[in-house]
Amino acid sequence: MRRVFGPIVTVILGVAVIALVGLGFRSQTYVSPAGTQVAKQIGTATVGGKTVPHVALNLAVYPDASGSVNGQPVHPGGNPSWPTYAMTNQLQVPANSLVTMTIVQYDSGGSLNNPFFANVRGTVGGTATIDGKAVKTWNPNDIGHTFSLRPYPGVSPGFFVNVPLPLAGNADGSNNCDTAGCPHHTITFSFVSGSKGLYAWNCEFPCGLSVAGFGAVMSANGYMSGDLHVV
Amino acid sequence: MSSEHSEEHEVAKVTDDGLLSEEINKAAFVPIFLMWAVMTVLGVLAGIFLVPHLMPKPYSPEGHDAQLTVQVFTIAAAPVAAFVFALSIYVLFGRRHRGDTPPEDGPPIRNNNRNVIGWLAASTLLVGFLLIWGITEWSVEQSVPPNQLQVNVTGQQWLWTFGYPASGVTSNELVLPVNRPVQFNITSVDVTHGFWPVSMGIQVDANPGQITVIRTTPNKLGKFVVRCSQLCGLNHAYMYAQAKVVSPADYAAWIQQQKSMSSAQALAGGRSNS
Repeated sequence: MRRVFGPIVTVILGVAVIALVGLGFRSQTYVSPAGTQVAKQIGTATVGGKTVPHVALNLAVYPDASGSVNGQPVHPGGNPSWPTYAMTNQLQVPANSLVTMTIVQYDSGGSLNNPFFANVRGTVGGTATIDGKAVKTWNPNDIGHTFSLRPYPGVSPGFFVNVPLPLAGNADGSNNCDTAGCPHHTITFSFVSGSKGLYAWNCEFPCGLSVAGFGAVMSANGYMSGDLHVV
Repeated sequence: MSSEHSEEHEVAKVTDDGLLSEEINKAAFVPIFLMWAVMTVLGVLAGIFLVPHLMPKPYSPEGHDAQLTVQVFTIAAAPVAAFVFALSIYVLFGRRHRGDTPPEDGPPIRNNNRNVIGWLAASTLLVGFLLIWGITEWSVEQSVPPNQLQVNVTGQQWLWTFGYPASGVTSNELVLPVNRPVQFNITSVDVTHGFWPVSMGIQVDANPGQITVIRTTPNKLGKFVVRCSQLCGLNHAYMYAQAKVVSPADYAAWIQQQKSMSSAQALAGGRSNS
């Protein structure tokens, strides 16, 4: 009896340990305290001869993650020396729809590690509108941040969106406001969402510390990167 | 400490000259051989039929060679692994001691020249075969064919970009003409990444401040992905790019399209920053 009982208990304990490790990893999955921004439908559009939903998303980039705007923290519990996308990094849009995104950029900046990311890619018409002017690229030495989006492996291969966000000349990092008086740029662009699945976006400007500016804030969930849930 | 235990101990006795007794040799040979034969056949069949399904579809001679190498090595390893497994299973279950008191250790086996020479010879042959196979494959990859397409690969957290210096094009997508040799010049602008177009059977690190070179020749039309094989930070899991192998005409059209896009961007860039 003991010969049978021993192996069975060993196997059960092994499975339990593996399950605990898996649950431990799962519990570490980042969940934005600000929740998910579900895109609002603003109409319909014709894409490839088909009528699809036209939805809108709004983001902002602030220099101080510990600050607030209109009484709302831009990043609950945020680090004061880090920039952040706000008000959440979790976005949701319907599949195969036209998505128009508006990003208001308040942060300072500098030069990209790779000038390729100064180019607009994957948007409707290959352009983005910066302060009302359509552009296809920007000076790679005057970049604040970028919005770079691609799918998780296995979903819509080839899908890629990149938009440079010009620096706003706010070098002291104290300007968390969204009034007209604050130095900022308003960037608008549209893209057609891919098939259902998880997509990842992040900033490709080296706005963190340590190795090549991709440490600290760039290596922390919830600040300069996030998920696009296409449903 | 019954007579059963004494008998078992007797069977396991080793002769004075270090050889296992005839008795245990005969008792062990048949079950070990049968298990070895069955597991060897299973291993060889897995090498022939299972490996191609476990590996990505090859898009280059190197990809094909990588698959063939795994197949050959699996087949070569099958009899060795089967021998270890068969012996282990036999010892664990066939020669298991019953009772609470372990038997005394037998005398150590020494000076069995036949076994030592046989084991050394078999190991040398196997390792030599693997070494020669590996060096041959590696030397084939080192040859520099004429008319190579140069592609500059840049890894950065957490995207790949591909530059085509001959045409001045840069893209986030790797597009290659079929049957034309390509040389990848690989670097990184931040941390170490791993350039890994899985289906092409090649992989090399992208190191900051250095250029590493690897060559291949795509020989099949289709699409696959380029992954990062070095854990490189927060979004490492997302760091991949799409690769396409297209006809020479489609490649020329794609280059032209990318050039037009670059020209338009250069013009637009001039206006936006004025």
